Amino acid sequence: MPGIGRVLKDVNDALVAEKPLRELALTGDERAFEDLIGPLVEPALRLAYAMLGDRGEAEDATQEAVTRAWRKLSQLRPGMPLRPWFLAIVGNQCRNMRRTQWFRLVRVPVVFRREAHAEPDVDRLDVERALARLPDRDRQALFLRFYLDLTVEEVGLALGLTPAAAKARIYRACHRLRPDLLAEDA
Amino acid sequence: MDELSQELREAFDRQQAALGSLAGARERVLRAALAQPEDIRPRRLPLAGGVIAVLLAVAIVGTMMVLARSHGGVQPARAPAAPSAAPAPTPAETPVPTPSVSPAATHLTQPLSVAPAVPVILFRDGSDASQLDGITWDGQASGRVATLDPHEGIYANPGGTLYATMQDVRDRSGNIVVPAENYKAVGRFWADDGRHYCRVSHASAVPPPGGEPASLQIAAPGEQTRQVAQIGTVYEQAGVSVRACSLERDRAVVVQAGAQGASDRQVWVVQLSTGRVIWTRSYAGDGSATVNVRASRDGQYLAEVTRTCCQQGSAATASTTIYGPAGSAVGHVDGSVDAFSWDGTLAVRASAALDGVVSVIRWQDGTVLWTSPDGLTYNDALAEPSGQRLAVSLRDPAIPQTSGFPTVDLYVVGSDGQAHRLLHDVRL
Repeated sequence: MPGIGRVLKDVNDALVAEKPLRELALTGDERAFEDLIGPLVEPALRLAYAMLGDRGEAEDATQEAVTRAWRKLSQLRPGMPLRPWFLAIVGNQCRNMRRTQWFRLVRVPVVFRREAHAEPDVDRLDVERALARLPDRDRQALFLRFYLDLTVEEVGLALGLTPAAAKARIYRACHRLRPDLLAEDA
Repeated sequence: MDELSQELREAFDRQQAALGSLAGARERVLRAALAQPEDIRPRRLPLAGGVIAVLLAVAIVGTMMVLARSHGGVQPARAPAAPSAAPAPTPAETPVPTPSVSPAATHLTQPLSVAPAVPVILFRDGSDASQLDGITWDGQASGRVATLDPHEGIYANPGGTLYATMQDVRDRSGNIVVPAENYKAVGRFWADDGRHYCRVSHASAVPPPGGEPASLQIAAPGEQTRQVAQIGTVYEQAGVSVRACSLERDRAVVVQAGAQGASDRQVWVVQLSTGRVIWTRSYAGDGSATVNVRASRDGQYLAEVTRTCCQQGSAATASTTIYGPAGSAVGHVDGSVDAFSWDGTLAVRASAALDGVVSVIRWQDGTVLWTSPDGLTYNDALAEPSGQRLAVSLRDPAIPQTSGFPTVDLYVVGSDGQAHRLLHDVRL
């Protein structure tokens, strides 16, 4: 699992280089669009799951994000990498879903909730507790950077931030995380 | 840093392990996403507006059924009055759930047969998600209403006499009351007369950067839409929504959502006949707390729920201030008030953590009338039209949600605290 982000990044980089696919997709070629966006579905699902904590909701969000990407493909500027653009749509869609009253009431608390039957493991608890306390956007930044292996620039694109702001967000999130861990270690 | 990044990867790995195998997921998601109406394709720009409306309708129709309340900031000239009585509620006896009619156990095959004006609760058949069923509030009559796309949400009026689908509005005999060509689903909120609806309209299907003005409108099947007032601003990621629409009281409650929709920024109580703002409040949105506004069906009472979560590792907290018809604070409730009874005297209160006991209370004196059975978590509530009962739907966390509609049990709670389980393992 740890290598998945890197693998997907390579795949995505290859896709970004596939300019003709984009152009075909822009003409309404559904197959080209599938080829273009297909490899990103899995990281999208993983991001959605990290944000929503429910597989069904993650699939719904990703599905809707694909639909939106299809519709908004013409807004993808030439030269802009596809992956952060698409993951930004996924992130927005997840936030849209979390915004609903039903979701806030029922879903949010389960994200990063530790399973009751899991084996006691202090280290795991420390990290997961600390992560669970982070603001959503910080946790999303860490997930994009450290799990999906996006570059800082890509994290910025996905979160609508400048690279400097993305870097600051990641740094701040780590800083928030580390004192938590240190405090709990103590 | 390397050590931390490794720990993070491992933590995310553990979390993602619960996602299970993604074999086939790509194909499934792509197929479902692209099996949308032809006109969402990027080259068909002239139809994009309509399509976006339909897509929005999917989200709204699918969730409005469970909404009936949600987003808003402040500014009444009035200082928050000292909240009225809100003593610590004393736990009341929790009636043992009494199974009543349980259509989930048996596939309903007979058509629903009740007088047209009798309120019913509409739900998906327990054994066939493509079938819409109805049941009266006392459970004495139930039956099949219509066939639906199992993935399609509906949004019923308070009495369940009309319901909106993604394409049209139908009565419970299946007759199309508003055909697709005249139908605009987006932002629809049924009025308390069961026939009219309020909606928020704006010019563009996708609002431009900086947003655009929203308009409150009122309409009824077969009648021309009437503009009530221009109110709020619609952004791509933050909308304006209706929380109450009352012909009886001549008022609507409209809420402006904040960035990302996480917290409400402003609420307006508007006179429907004139468009006059009766009172308004706005919220700063400083990030330390979120505020969400719910309203009684007639807009007489507003519950302003302030929620903080997990600051420095502390537990989530929620408290509710209730505002009366003129905008002054008239009560305070510890916890999150999520719904009111039809007359506004009773409220459904969820715990701060939102995963604990749900209760029905008399908010004016804090009396707890009913508490939910252990082990179930809150999903939604409905008010009985012209009655005092509340229908509270609860989820069993052990039952995974496999569609857009969670499996719930529905309890009907009276003003005397007497409750019975009306439906078991159904989807609303």
